[in-house]
Amino acid sequence: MQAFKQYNRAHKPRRQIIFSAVMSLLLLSSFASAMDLSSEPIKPIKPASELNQDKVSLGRDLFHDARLSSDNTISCASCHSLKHGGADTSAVSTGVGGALGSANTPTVYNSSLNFVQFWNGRAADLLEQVNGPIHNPVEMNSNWPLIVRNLSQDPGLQSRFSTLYSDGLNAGNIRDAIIEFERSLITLNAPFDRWLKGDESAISDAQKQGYRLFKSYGCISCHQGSNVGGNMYARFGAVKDISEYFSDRGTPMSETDLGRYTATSDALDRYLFKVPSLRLASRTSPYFHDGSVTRLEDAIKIMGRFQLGREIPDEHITAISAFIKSLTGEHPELSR
Amino acid sequence: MIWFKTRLYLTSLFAIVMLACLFYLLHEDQSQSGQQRSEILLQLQVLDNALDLEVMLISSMQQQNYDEIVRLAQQLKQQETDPDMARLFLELPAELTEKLKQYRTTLHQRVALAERIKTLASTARNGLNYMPMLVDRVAETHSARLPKVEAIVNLLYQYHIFKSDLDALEIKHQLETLNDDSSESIADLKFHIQANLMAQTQLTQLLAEYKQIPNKTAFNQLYSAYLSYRNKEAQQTEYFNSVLIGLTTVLILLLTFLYLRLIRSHQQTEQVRLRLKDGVDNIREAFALFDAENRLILSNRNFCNYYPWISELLKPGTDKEIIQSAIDAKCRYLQGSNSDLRLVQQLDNGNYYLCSNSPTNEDGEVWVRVDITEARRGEQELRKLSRALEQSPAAVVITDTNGVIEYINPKAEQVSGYTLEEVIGKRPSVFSSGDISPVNYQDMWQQMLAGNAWQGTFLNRRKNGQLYWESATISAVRDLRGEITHFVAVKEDISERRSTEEQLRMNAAVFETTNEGIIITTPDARIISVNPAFTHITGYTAEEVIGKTPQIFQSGKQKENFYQEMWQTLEQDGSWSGEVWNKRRNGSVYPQWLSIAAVRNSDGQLEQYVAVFSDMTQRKNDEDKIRQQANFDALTSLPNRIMLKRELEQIQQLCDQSGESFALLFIDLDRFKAVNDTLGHSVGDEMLQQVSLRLASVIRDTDLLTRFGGDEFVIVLQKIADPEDAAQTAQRVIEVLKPPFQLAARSLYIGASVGISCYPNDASNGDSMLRNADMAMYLAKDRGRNQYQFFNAEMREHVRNKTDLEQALRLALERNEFELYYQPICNLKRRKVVAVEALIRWHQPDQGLIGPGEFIPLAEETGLIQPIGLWVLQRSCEQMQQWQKLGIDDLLISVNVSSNQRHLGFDAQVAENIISKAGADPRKLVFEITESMFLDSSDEGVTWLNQFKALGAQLAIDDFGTGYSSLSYLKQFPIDKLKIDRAFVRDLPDNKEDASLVSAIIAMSQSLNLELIAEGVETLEQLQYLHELNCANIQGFLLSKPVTAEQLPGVIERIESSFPALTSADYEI
Repeated sequence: MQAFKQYNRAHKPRRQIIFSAVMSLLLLSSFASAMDLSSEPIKPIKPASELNQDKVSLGRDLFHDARLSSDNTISCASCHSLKHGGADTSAVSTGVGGALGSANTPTVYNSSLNFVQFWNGRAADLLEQVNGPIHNPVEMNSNWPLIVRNLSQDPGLQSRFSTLYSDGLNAGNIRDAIIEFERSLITLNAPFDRWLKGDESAISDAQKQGYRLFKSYGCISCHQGSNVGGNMYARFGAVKDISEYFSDRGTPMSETDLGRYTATSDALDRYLFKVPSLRLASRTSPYFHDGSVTRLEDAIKIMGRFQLGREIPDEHITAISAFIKSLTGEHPELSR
Repeated sequence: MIWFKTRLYLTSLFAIVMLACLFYLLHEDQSQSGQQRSEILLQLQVLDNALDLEVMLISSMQQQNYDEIVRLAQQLKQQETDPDMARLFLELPAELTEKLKQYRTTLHQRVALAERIKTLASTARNGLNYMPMLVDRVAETHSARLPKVEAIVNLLYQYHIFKSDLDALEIKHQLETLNDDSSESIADLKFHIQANLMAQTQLTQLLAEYKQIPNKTAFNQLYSAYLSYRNKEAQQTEYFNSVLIGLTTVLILLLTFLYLRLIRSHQQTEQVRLRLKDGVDNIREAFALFDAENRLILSNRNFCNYYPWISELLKPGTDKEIIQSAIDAKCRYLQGSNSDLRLVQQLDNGNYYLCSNSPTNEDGEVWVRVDITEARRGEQELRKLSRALEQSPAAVVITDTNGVIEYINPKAEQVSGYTLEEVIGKRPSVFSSGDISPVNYQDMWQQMLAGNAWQGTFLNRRKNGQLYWESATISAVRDLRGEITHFVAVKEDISERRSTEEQLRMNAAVFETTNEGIIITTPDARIISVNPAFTHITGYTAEEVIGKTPQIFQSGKQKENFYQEMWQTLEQDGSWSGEVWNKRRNGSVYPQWLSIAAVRNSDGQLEQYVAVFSDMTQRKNDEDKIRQQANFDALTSLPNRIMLKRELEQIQQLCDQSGESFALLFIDLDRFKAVNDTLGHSVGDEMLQQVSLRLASVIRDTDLLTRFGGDEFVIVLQKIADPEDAAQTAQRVIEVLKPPFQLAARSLYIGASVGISCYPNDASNGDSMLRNADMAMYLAKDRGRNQYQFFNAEMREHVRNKTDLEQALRLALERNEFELYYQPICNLKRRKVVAVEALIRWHQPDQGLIGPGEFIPLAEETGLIQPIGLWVLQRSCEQMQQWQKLGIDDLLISVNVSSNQRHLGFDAQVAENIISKAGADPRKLVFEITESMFLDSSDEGVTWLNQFKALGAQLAIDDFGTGYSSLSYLKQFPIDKLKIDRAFVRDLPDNKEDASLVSAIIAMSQSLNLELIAEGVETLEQLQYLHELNCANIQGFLLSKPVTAEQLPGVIERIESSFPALTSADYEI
């Protein structure tokens, strides 16, 4: 046993060296034919792996099932409208009994790529996230026992659960199916991704210009990675006092505006928000955690002002906006 | 043995395998979880290091996307939250858990710091990213300031390379030099550089903070603690291993030792067992031992030999019940003795085993079976013999050598009449009859004591004094040394056998000598034996018929159901007799009188049939002849007077029924006597034949022509419408007899006188019609020849005279005008008067003595015959008594009884009253009856006669031969005597027909054992002829006419004295 451990220790680095060498060779060879985009801060989205299509199908139905809400009026899809970019077109969503939510609905597309869930990151992953809207009085205002009871009266649903899960219909399996569906909501083949993979004509020159500006203005510092965001927290008003924003907004400050602070009560976390992904940004107006901005250009402008400390000229904003549009990939649900 | 070994091996093997498994499991479990934990810890370290690397890259602005660090953070988190992994660390010592917890805390801190670093790094990078653009703007707007700005920006990048506070201070210092310039682009630049510196400073601080987190220490502590734990564990495992190996070795050694010990002890046990088995195998009894669980432990060879069919089951371990039921399938149980435990089995093959099942000390059971077949057979044999002795039909007496009785069997008890108890201890002389036995006892004892078997016949005496013959065989019983211990006498009562043999001899003689044929058949009618008479009659020899059935004798003359009825009667009554027509060997058919009797044995089982038959040919011929002669005239073959009277009765009855009339023509030939006298009887006979032919030609078929007697003929005309018809026939009769008869070469002329009476005008019955016609005929004759005359008033007058006679007859009884005369009947052999016939005479005051022929018919007609008959009987009885007083005591008196008397109420009862009144001996009475009695052959008639027989009286048939009854028929009646009618005797011995008839009657009466009396013997020739024919008794004028009672003794004396030279006497009636 000891020997085996030593073997592992001894061989792992060596394997990595060999791997690196091969990769280097490959990269060197590609230099000859095309631009090297491998070190771009944005990476193409990889398709979700190991999906169970039956569970995806079941999850999709549950996602659209209003029985998950206390008065059978609200489903997940009520707010995460799949054909509207997986988000709500309103600033805040309307829950059971017409209750209004406190934050703008983020897109469900590519949500599995987010490093935490919710604007303030109070859910570590989707599993935790699902519980949120279910129990939220202004959203579905329900609970798992009730949902399980309601759904159990549907024999067809029960049999679907029975075939997929050994323990049949229960809260955990409902969550699992919904998450499986959510994991399938990955937008692929975005023009920008295609460009990154070598298709030089995938995006326009304007978009390329926008991308360069996006990097030059420093947007790229936060909106990077395959999800173009969603992998870090950033302080709203990183370089400029955000109170100007709130006062300009014309609505009073809410608890939501405090960002991650509401989850951690750490003063350092005040106004700290999860950086949202820009993959669907072109289709998920209105913007920001309060949904106070409807135009993408305005959002870019506000971002430049408070996050970057710049007043970005309109022509640059247009270019950046064009670039952001190239980030939007394809998904069957999106085009339905 | 094999099982024992296998068990031992298996146990050993099992123990070793168990140990090996334990060893493996301990080791495996330890190593697996240990390995997994190690991997996790290593992975943690790898992730930790990767996190370090990523944080370094980010903080040095070399990493532009955070996907990797997000992935690492998530992996770390996953590693902590994964339940599978968490489980591995649950059961660790608290110290180790604490170390792990500490390490994880450092990781949490680092991840949290990394988040802040990410944010700060973004801000810092943001500024650096924007620098070129800012520089460009300055170049556009304040190109004068560009060198300065470029220098500051260069410093900034230098700062970012070296992170030196020196550079930071210089940048701040340089920036202050730009304070005077308030242009927007410069201000922006300043703002962003300051912000960048601040961010970088904070980043540096955070990084320092990050680096200060003692994650390495925590990991090293954790890992070294874990290693020591692992080592401890490994040591423990090794220790366990050693212990286990030690244990295994000890176990194997122990097992080997035990095995060797067991082998040895097993060998010893086996030796003991073999010895025991050898011993048990060699005992004669069958033996089986069962343990407390009812399993077979041991059985010996004989157990298998006793029950060969269960040999398969006789393996140790077989359940007792299985063996028991397998045995029970082929045997049954008998109660051996009174003890319940010892049963006797009887096997299907006949063997007997005595069974004993006893419990053993260890709650098992031991079975012992003893073959008692031989003993049982011996017992059986003895029982059989003693049973035979008890049931033996021979008497057995066992004595000791001194002749003292020790045992007699039941037969001997039965024969001798003594019981066993009575004779035990006594000598066989108790059976002796005394000195009359033909046995030489001395010789007998000598023989017996010499050891020889003695045989002889005793004449012994039963207890009740009766003598009996006994055949005995006495033999000695010897013991094993050959010494005589007992004598056994086997005796047989041969008294009965002796008499039976005698009887058989007699029967054989009868069988051989009898004139009657005898056939003996089996129950299915196969002939077993026939006698010489059979051969004589049938012509068949015994050899020809034995084995066949009597069907070969059948003539085919019998009716179909005859044999069926015969067999039926045989079956019901056991005997049958009757007349059968059979066939002789030569084919001739003959009648036989056959009596068949079924012979049954004592059980009622049919053993054989005995058929006795006599040849009836002669008798039958005789009967036919008798009938012919009795009813028909021999000369003309016409019906005679007897038949006429019978026919008349029938015709009268027919006419009474139909209301018709008939007429009777009484024909008497004129001048016939002259023919007879002048030309002789033969010519007269010939004439009579011709007359009969001529008469036959003038009558109808329905009319009846009879020869009434002599030259008298009677014609009965049936169904006449008018008396004139009779007159016409009468005239034709006269006319047909007028022409001359050509006889004796001449023409002879005769004539005929005819008297006619008609029924019902002239008479009320046949007799009176004859009388009336006769009367009319005489009148016709008186009026001249060749006349016919109807019965008329004048004649009626004559009848009236008869009425007067009747009146006189009635008075005669009252006036005692009758007297009995007696005619002796003499037995020729004994030369003695043996009987007298009582005959009535009437002393009519006007006409003198009148014979019975003149008044008896009238008495019959008027019924006066009854009182007259009774008077005759009474008078005869009285006379018998009177003679007895005179010393005549062996004389029988015959009294005539007419059939009318029976109808008028005369019977044995009436007779007995009269006889007893007179004090007479009924045995000395003979009632003479006529054949007409038997016309009525009903049982009533037979009973009527039998009652007379019952009185002791005898019965005789009077006037035999004039009737038509057959002799065989008579056999049914209790008849003692036959009286041959005087008509047959009259012409003896000249008349050949009569002679043969009489001889036939005599022969038959002998065969039927009837006493024969010939009536009307008038000549010495007749007497001698009858004597020659063996006719025993005669009656007639030759001996004596009827005489008065007073005369009789003298007559008897005269007859008996004159017997040797009997001469004719005076013959008057």
